Amino acid sequence: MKIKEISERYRAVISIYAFLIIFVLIFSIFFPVFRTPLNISNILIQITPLALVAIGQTIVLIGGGIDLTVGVVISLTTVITANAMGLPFVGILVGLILVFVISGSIGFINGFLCNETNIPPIIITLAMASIIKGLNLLYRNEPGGQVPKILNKIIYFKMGIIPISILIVLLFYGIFAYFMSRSKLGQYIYAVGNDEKYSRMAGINIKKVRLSTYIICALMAGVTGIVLSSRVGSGSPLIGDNYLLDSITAVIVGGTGFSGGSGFILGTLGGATLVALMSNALNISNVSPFYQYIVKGSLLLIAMILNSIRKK
Amino acid sequence: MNSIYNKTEIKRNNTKGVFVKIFSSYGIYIVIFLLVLISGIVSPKTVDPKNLIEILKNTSVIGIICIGQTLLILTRGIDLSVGAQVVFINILVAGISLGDPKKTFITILIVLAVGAIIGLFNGVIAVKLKIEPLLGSLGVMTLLQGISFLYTKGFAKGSTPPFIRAMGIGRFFNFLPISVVIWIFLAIVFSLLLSRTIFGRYVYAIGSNPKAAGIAGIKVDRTRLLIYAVSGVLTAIAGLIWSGFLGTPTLTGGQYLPLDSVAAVIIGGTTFAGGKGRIIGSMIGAVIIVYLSNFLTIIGLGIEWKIIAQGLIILLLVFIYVGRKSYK
Repeated sequence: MKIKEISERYRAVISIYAFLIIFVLIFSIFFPVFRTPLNISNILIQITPLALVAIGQTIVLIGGGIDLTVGVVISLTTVITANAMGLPFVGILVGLILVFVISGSIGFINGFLCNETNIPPIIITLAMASIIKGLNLLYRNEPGGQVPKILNKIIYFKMGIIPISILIVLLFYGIFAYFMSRSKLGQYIYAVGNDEKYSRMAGINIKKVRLSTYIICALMAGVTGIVLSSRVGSGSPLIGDNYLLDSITAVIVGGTGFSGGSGFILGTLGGATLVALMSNALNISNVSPFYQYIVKGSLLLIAMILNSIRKK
Repeated sequence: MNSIYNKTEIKRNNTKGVFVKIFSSYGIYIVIFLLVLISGIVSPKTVDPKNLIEILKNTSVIGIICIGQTLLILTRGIDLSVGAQVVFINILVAGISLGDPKKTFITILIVLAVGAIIGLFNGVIAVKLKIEPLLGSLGVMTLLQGISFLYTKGFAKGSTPPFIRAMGIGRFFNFLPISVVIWIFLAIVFSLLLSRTIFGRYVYAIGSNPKAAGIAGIKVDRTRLLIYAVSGVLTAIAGLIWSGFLGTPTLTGGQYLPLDSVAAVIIGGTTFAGGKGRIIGSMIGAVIIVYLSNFLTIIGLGIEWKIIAQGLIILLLVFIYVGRKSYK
């Protein structure tokens, strides 16, 4: 009975990981390159930024919102890191503080507007993304700047075949999975996403809860930007654009619904891994890169079809 | 308990200022008036008739797309694949006809059919499979980008036949662009369809309450599918004009169309909740967006300023339309 209950509740999460295992098995059998240590550690590094930004998107979606600014916040933070961290000695610290202050305030503005106005979150964050992108392009129109080499070394540091960046990812996932399932605020986020009116009647400060989801999401986009710029070594005003759709795909593939109140952080890890694995597998199997678009689009559509069937 | 909330809500609406009332029904006209006024003062070149015609010409593609987008948003749908569709149509036009004038007619037929199919595909995803249309059409957008790349293998071939070229760059009496005439004709037709026909009433009914519309005997799913197909055809027409503008197939461009068209529709007063909005508002919204970028270019400010201004205008106008949230 107990096992049945658990499998019932976590069906989405279990199915994504089962699918992942089958996928990995098939590819390791048919493509020997896929299972080489070098490729495995490459995959683990490739997963990192998407997995990090998808955490925030999951939390906002569970809370009943959506954040379309993640892509531009990632770009903005790579640009900030690459410019501010150039200062001698204090550079890294100043860079980190700037990134967190700026991305945190963007999250605050998003959440504040969602709280105080009747404008749908999707329009608010769409307009905010437009504004931030414009400001970012004004500030820096092309890739440039320099991120301290030490950060690059940290990101690429490996223990055996395990890069340290994947440990950072696992740490974040551990913290947020615990936060969403055990903490009061985490439970409130589910409640508000499920039914705003009843949550308010139950005495939950829904404004504070919603605000916190957007701030967490923006901060995670900031962390992603730092990791990404450390990997690339410089900042770019357009580097984050792809992560918007990918992050939503990862979250939906991971079993989080679009209407709020349901979803699991750990499902998203599976979703992000699948998206990254797909790209890697396509590269390795020598398929025309143009198929990447088709695979990604189909992945998103299939995941949503499965989600809507599950709901029925 | 509920009735108390309703009473306070009504009271709040009654105490709305006159200014807000006027602005929320005529806001879009005030904005375009101010925009023309300011641009005329800052740089008289902007309001030169030649430039105004140029602006209208550049609006025709997004304007035609906005007609379909308005119908969709009115019925709680949306299509973000329009940019990828326009690019794909342009490639198809060149690929099928290879610039041969004899194949013009068949090319146009095929392209319109493809538009209808893409629209229906989006429709089935949103209506039958009940997937959030925003995400569903993003998935379709990615698919279409992939198909465009595969069709051309990265290098687009062919060119636009003369007749379709004329749809983009041709002018009546050397003055009025053909594309603008097509756009305004379609806008008038669909405005009349919405305001004067049963179809229009169905659209508003479905948008304001799909369930009630279904109970009242309207075939909700079928009407919504039809709207998706019509919107696909409109996008295909926009694609033909786009192809006429460019003359050659390109795999890039069009990336601003989805957001610009949605922005135009929502600043034009169509609400995301459905059931409220008019074609004319969206058309003026489209003009505002193109006008803005034209004006900023003339005074030497780049695309960055355009997207900042666009974001601010969306936030401001939509805020005026829908107002503050009340937690009473």
